[in-house]
Amino acid sequence: MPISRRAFLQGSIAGGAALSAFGFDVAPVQAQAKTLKIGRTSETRSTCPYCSVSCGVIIHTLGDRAKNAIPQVVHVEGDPDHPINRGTLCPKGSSLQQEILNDRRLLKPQVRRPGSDHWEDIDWDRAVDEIARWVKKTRDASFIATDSRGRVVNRCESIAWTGGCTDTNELNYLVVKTMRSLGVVGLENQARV
Amino acid sequence: MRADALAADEGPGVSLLRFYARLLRAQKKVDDALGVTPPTGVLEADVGILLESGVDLLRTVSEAGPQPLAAQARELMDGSASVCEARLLTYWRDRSDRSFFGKALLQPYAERLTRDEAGPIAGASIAGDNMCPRCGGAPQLSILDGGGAAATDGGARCLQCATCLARWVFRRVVCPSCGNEDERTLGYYQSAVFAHVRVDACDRCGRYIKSIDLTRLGLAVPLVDEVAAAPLDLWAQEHGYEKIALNLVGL
Amino acid sequence: MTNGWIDIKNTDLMLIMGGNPAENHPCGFKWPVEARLHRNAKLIVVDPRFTRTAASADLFLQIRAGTDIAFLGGLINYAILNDRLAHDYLVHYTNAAFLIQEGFKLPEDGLYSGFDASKRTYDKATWNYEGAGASPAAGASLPPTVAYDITLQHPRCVFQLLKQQYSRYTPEMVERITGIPRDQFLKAADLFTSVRKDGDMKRVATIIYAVGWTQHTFGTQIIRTAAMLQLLLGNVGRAGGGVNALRGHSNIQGATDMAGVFDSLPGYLKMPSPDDADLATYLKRTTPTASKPAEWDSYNYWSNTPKFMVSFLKALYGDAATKQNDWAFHYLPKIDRKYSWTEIWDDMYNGHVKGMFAFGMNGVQIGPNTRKNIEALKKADWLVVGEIYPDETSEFWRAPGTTPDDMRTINTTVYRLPCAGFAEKDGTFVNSARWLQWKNIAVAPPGDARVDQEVLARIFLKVRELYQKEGGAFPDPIVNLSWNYTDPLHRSFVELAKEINGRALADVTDPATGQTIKAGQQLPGFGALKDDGTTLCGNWLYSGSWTEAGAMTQRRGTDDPSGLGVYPNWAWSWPANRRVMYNRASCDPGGQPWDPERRQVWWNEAAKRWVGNDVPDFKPDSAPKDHMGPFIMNPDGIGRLFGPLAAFQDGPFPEHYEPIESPIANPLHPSQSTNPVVQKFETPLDKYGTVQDGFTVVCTTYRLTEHYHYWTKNNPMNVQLVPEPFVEIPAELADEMGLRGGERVKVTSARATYVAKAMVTRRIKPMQIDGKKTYQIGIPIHWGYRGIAEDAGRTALTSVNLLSPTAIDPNAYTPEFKGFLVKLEKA
Repeated sequence: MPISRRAFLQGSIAGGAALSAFGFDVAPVQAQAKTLKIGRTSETRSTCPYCSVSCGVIIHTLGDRAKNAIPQVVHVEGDPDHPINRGTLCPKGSSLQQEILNDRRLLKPQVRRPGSDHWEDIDWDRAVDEIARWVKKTRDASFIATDSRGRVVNRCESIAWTGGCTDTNELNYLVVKTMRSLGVVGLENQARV
Repeated sequence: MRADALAADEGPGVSLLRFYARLLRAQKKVDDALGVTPPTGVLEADVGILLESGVDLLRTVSEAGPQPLAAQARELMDGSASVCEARLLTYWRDRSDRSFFGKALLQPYAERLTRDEAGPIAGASIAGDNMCPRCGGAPQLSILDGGGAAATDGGARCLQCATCLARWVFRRVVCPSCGNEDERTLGYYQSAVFAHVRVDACDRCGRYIKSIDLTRLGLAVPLVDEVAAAPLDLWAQEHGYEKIALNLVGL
Repeated sequence: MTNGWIDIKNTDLMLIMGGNPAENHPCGFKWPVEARLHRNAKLIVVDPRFTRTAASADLFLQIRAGTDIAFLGGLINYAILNDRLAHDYLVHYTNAAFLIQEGFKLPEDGLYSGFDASKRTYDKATWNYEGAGASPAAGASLPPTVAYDITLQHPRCVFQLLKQQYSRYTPEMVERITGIPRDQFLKAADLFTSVRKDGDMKRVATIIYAVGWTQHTFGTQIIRTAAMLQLLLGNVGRAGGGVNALRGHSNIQGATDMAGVFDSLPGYLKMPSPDDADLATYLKRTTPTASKPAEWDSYNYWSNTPKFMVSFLKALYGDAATKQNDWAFHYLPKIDRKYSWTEIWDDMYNGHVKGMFAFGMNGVQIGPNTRKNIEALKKADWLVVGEIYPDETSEFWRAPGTTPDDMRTINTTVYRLPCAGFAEKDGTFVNSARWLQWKNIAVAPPGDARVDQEVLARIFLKVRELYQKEGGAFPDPIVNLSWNYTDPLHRSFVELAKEINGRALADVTDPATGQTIKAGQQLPGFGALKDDGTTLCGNWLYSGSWTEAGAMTQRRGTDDPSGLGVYPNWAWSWPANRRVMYNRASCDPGGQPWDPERRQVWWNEAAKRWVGNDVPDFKPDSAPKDHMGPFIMNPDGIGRLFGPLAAFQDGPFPEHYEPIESPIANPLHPSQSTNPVVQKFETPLDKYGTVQDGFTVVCTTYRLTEHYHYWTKNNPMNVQLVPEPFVEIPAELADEMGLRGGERVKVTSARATYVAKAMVTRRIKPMQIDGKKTYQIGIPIHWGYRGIAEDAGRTALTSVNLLSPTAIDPNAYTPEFKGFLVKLEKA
C-alpha cells in the first residue's frame, strides 16, 4: 500500500503560488482545472439481455448520484474481463445504448376499454385495483377445488401467464410463487417455443 | 515526441510537458548506457553506471527544473558518489514517490531489468495483484486497451508500474488501491477537454488513479498524456482524493 | 449445454446443425474459431441455407428442413457398421448391454409396439428393460435389477436393437429423405466418426444445435438422436464434447430451470397429479428407484426428490407448511392434462381461458398461427401486458385488418403496464453454459415505468388483500404464501436469490462435512437439504449459488488454472459449480482420463476421492471398482441409448417422421408418414396444408444477426442495419416465377399470407427430395405491425407466424415453426 501523505500541493492558494510536490508552478494548470466541466460516470457490470451467450457488458452512466442528477447512460461496451465474450459485442449488443435510451419506451400505464379504439391513461393504483379485481373474479368463477372424479385439484384454468426469457431468475421465482398459489396451471414462457 | 507534440499546443500544462520531454530524453540516455553495459540486477553493483549515465539527467534538472529540484540536482552533481548511491538504494527499498531522483534515475534501470528477465526481479515483494508483479511497485497509471498485456478486445485494463514501467493485467471496475468492487462507490471523473483521460476514484479508500483510454485516442502515450492531463490531478486533489502514486512532475 | 461456451475451444471436431452461431451467437462463435485455429479442429455444418456458420465450415451439407433424424440416424448406422465406436464407454456407461423385454417391436411400419389408434397414444409397457433373476418387470415401472449382456450380442440387447433400427437409414435412404447426395453424406459420416477411428479414445467431437432442432414435431427426438450418437462415440462428459444446445435468450435457461412452464416446478420437479392423494403418493410416483445390473451401482440422485420437494414447499409456504398439513402439498394445483403454450391459446379461443398476463412476451408474434392467437384474445375478458415498447399483443384489438366496427365488438379490457428494461433490473441470468451471473442496476426505469417485481408484487398483494377481506374460492394458498421481505412491494432480488439458494430453518448437519449449519444460515448446497421441514429452498438446482460466503454469482475470478476454459471462480454454474456435466465419463472405467492432455477429473486412489480441474459431477468417494454410472440423474446411472417406458411419448428410439406439412410421403413407411402421436388442433382456424392443395414449397423461419426477435424493431440502430423484412427465395424459383429481387412477394400457407420483398439468393439450392425437385425458402421473423419501420409505413405489417402451423412436439410441446408448406406468388 502506498504510504499516506500530506496534501501534495505546497504553499497556500491564497498567499503563495500553487506548487506541486516537486515545486513545479502549477498555477496555470490550476486555473484550467477550475474551468473544467467534470462529470462523474459510474460503470455498472451487467449482462446483455439478448442471446444466450450472455455477454458481459459495462454500462456507463453519467450523473452524480450525490448531487441528485438524473443519471444518463452514455456508453455500453463489452466487458473485457468476461471470459466468454472477452470485450466483444455483436451488432445487437453494440446497440444497447439505444435500447436503454429509447423514445418508444412505454412511460405510463394505459388501458383499452371494451369496444374502444384507443388507449387511455390510467394511474398505477387504479390499474392494480382493477387487475386484482379481474383476477379474483375470474378465479372465483372458475376455480376447481375437486374435479369430476372427486379428486382434490385446486386449480384455476381460466387465468394464464405467459412470460419471456429476459426476466431474471429471481423474477421468475416470484412468478412461480404467485401464480402457483393462485392455482394457475397455464403457466408458460419463451422456453417452450 | 508525444510530449513535444502536446507541448506545442501551448496549453496551461506546457511548462510541465516541456520539462517532462527533456527528462524523458535524459532517461533515454541512461537506458542506452544500460544497453551497452547490461545491469547485473544487484543495485549495489550497478550503481556506478547509473550515476555515470545519469549525469545528463541531473544537469537537465538543474537547468530546467523547478527551484527546489534544481538545487538538489546541483548538490548531487557536486556531492559525493556515496550520497547519491545511498539515495538510490533508499528509493529501491521504499519506493517513495516523493523521491524524485531515485525514481527518475531508477525507472530506466528497473524497466530494463523487468523487460529482460522472465520473472520478478530479485527482492521484489509481490503484495497482491494491485502491485507490480515484476518489482512490487505501486501503479502509476491505468491504461484501457490492454496495451498488449491483455488478450481481449475493447477496454481491457492494465496498470503501469511507477518504478519499472512494466504493465500488468488488471480488472475493470475494481479499485487498484483497496480492491473495492462495489460499483456504487466507484466511478470515474472526466472532462471533455481530456476525453481520453479518466480519474478513476474510489469513495471507500479515497484514492484515485488516472486511466488513459487508448480506445478513444490510440495516439496517446500513457506516461506523457498522464502528465498532460495535470488539471485533472488538481481537480481530484481539491475534491478530497489522494493519488496512489505521484508522477514525476509531482502531481 | 452439457459443456460450455469456452469449452468448445477444446474440441477436435464440431457438427453444427439446426443452429447458426456465427450469426445468432456471434460472440460465442469465437470459441469454435479458436478450436479451428489452435487445435486444427474440423467443422461440419448441415443447414437448409448456406449461412455464415457454413462459410467457416470444412464441410457444408444443405439439408431439407425437418429431416435431421434421417441424417443423424444415418450417422449412427455408419458408426456401427464401420466400428467407429467407443467400446468401453458404450458397454459401461450406456444401456447398450441392457436387455429389452420380449414383445417390443421396432417401427419398420412407422409404429412401435403398443399403439392405440383410437387414442393416438402408445401403451408403453413393452418399452422396458427385462428384469433379471426373480424380479420380473412390473408393467409400468423399471425393474430394479436389469438383465444385460456385456458382449452386446444378445438379439434383444439395446445395442442390437439400435443396430437394427438404424440399419434402414442407409446412405441411399438418407439421400431420398434429406436431399443430401450420398457421397456427400458419406464424407460427413467418415469425418465426424473419425474421432473413433481405429479405437482412438483421445479425440473428441461436439454437437452444437439451436432451435433449428427444437422447432419441429419431432424436435425432442432429433436431439435424442444426437445424444445417442455422442454416447456411441463416447463424447459426453469430455472436454470439447457433449451435446450443446445454444439457447435463444439471455435467460431462457433460467426460465426453464425455474419452471415458468406448466409441467414442472423449480428444479425440474414434476407437477402434482390429481391421483397424488397426498405428498407421499406424489413422492412415490416421482422419486425414481434405481434400475440397473445387479453388479453395478447407481447414484440415482433424483432419489433425493423428497428433500427437494419439501424444501420447496417450505420456501413457498413457510410456517404454513407443516408436517400435519402434508407441507401444504394441497395448496399446489394438480394437473392431468397439458396446459402448454399452444393449449393456452387454444383454450382461450374456446372460451376457457378468460384472462392472461403477458410479461415480456409477445404471444401474438410468437404464434404459431398468429391469426388464431389474435382471435383468441378477442374472446378473453382481460389481458395484462407488462412491456417496455408498444407491441402486437397489447394491440391485437387494432391489428391490421380490424375495422372500427370490429373493434366495437371486441370486449377485452387490456392493461398495458410500463415495465423495466434490462439495465434497470438486477438479478441473475443463466447462459447456455449454465452459468448464473449476477447483473447490477445501472439506471432507474424512465417515466412512470416500474420494475417488474414491484408490478407483480402490487397485483398479487392486492389480490391477497381482497381475499383476506372478502373470502372467495380457496384463499388459503394465496393468503399463506410466504412473503417475508424487508419491503414487501420492492422485493429485493438479493432476498429472493437467498431464498432460492435455501437456508436452514433449524440447526442441521451438512452431510458432506459433518458441520452444523445454524438456523437462519444459508445452505452450502443441495446436499444439505432435508425432507423434514428443517430446510427451505426455492430451487434445489441453484443451491450453492448464495452461501454464507456470499453471492457466488457475483464472482469475477479471471483465472483458469487448467487452461481448459473452466474459470472456476467466475460466477457460478449449476449444478454445484460443475462446468462440464457427466465429467466422470471423461475417464475410463478405471478412473483415468481418456485423454491425459485434457484432464478434467480423475480418481485419486490415495485420497480415495475424485479430484481434478473441474468439480466432479459424481459421488466424490465412489471408487471406480464400484462401477457407479456417470449419468447420476438417471435411475439406471447410464446414458440412455434406449429411452424406456414413458421417457418419450413417441418411441424409445428416434424415428424419422415427416413434418406435419410435408412435400412427400415418408419413404421409410409411407402409410405412417408423420409422427403418430403428434397433436394437431381443431378450431376452424387450425388448418393444415398439403401438396395437393398447392402448397409445394418448404418454408423455414430464422433469425438475423442484426435483430433480436420482436424487440429490436424498436431500436433505431438495428433498424438502420436491416430496415425492412424480406423473404429469401432461391434464384431458380424466382426465375420460374418471373420474380426479381426487391419485388414484393406473397407467401401463403393454409392459414394466412405474409408479404415482403423478395431477396433472391443462390445459397438455398433446389433439392431432389425422393426424386422430386423441391424448393425451400427462408423468412426472418423480426417484423410485425408495431415498430419503427412498421409505424413509418415501410412494411406490409404482416407477421411471419401468420404462416406457421399449430402442431406440436409430443414430448416438449414446441410448435413446428420450421419446415411447413407454403406457396408463393408475386404480390
